[in-house]
Amino acid sequence: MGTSVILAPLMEKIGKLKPVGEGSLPPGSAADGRTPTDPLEDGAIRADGRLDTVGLFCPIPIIKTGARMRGMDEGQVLEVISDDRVILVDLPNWCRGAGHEYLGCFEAVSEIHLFVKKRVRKPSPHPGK
Amino acid sequence: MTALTGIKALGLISGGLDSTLAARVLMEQGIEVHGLNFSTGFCSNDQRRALGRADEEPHRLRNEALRAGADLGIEVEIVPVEKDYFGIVVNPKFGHGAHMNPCIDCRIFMLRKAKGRMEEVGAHFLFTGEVLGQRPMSQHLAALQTIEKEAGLEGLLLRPLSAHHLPETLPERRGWVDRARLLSIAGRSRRGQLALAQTFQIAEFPQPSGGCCSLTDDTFSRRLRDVLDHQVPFEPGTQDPVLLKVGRHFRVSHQVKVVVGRDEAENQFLERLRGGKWCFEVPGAGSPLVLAQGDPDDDLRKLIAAITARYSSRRAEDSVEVQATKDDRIETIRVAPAADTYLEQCRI
Repeated sequence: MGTSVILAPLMEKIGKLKPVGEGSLPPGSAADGRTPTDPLEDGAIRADGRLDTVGLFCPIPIIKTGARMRGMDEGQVLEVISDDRVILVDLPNWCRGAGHEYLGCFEAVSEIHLFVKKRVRKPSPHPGK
Repeated sequence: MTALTGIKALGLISGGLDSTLAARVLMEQGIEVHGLNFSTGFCSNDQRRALGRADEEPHRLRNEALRAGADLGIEVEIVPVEKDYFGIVVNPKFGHGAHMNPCIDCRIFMLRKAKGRMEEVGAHFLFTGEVLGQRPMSQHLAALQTIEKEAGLEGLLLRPLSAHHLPETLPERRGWVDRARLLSIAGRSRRGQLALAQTFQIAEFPQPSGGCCSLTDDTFSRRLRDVLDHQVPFEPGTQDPVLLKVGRHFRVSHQVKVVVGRDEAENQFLERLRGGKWCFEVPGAGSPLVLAQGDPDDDLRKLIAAITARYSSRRAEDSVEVQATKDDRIETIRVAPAADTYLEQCRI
């Protein structure tokens, strides 16, 4: 697992993530309508973890993503690699429900690389619950 | 919205309208909701995804439970249960429905699993979107009571949409949930749910008639029954259930079944499974890929070649050359295309 979270450059680069399959991205996707650029080109994005789900079909990549995220710290970024295009819909939906931040995606050699930032929980107003 | 702070409910979320509404009704009372969705290996959408048709629009194959969770703003956790679940498909205590669907056992199975997650999630009670009288097998009053009892959830299982037709539950008695704000929907009409959806401005939900469970599908169930009857190796959570959705299936002997691809996507899917198996094609013609499960002898290979010729573009010719391949072994078999009357007899 990588160690660096370069949040400022990451957020800057997220604005340049390449939309995969334009027109098929879900509303609200961070990648929607941004300038196509390979975000790894200059190494600005470093995920804290990488999950390779190539060859697996949703919902298996989502299940594996959930399990992996549980072991990560708040604010850390996971890169999910998949070749199932339905993940372009399912992963942002899962993030919206679970409160994680879907950062965007790019495509390279028929594989989709998607980035998810683990939610940062607000302090509970009801301690003990 | 009245806030009943600190109360948490765990619900079975399919992504259909009923479970979405049930969650929303509780959220309107300020109850925190966490969703569970079980991956059984028999979801039609999952199987279509695995087939990987290039022309499929991803939105049409999305996971509806995740979509519902996103719309509701709640976490929906997908739990893989394929192997355990297969046990109740094969041998359901309360029997099958019209096909291989073990609806009552299915509900009990999922609720038991959900009960096991309650403490971890910090949930006070469970809920479902079940509607009294909506489904003939699993949602009549006796079935709902059986399901609750068998799952070990007596009093702890709330069905918000039909609550007024059912005995008061523990969450209602304890004041965690305001019974007066629950509903009295019953029967097969969807009118009440659709009106409620409009009230809550829930616009996206799958049509109820479609259903996502392959086990309610006649053809799929027949093929699954054939697998069980002939002790074909079958592993849930792999490509095995997907294969039952793909192509035309013919049982040519007790030990051997053949699957005939119907289009390029199905041929490509079968191609991925061909290792160690006999495969048949008509070279230089429009041809299906035909995969044999089991080990066909010389006579059966001729028969399978005839089936292959029948579904090739040379079906009208008297004699067709078919190539049979198993790993490094290649045979050329010249046959007449199989007669449709024969095919109808062995079609699964």
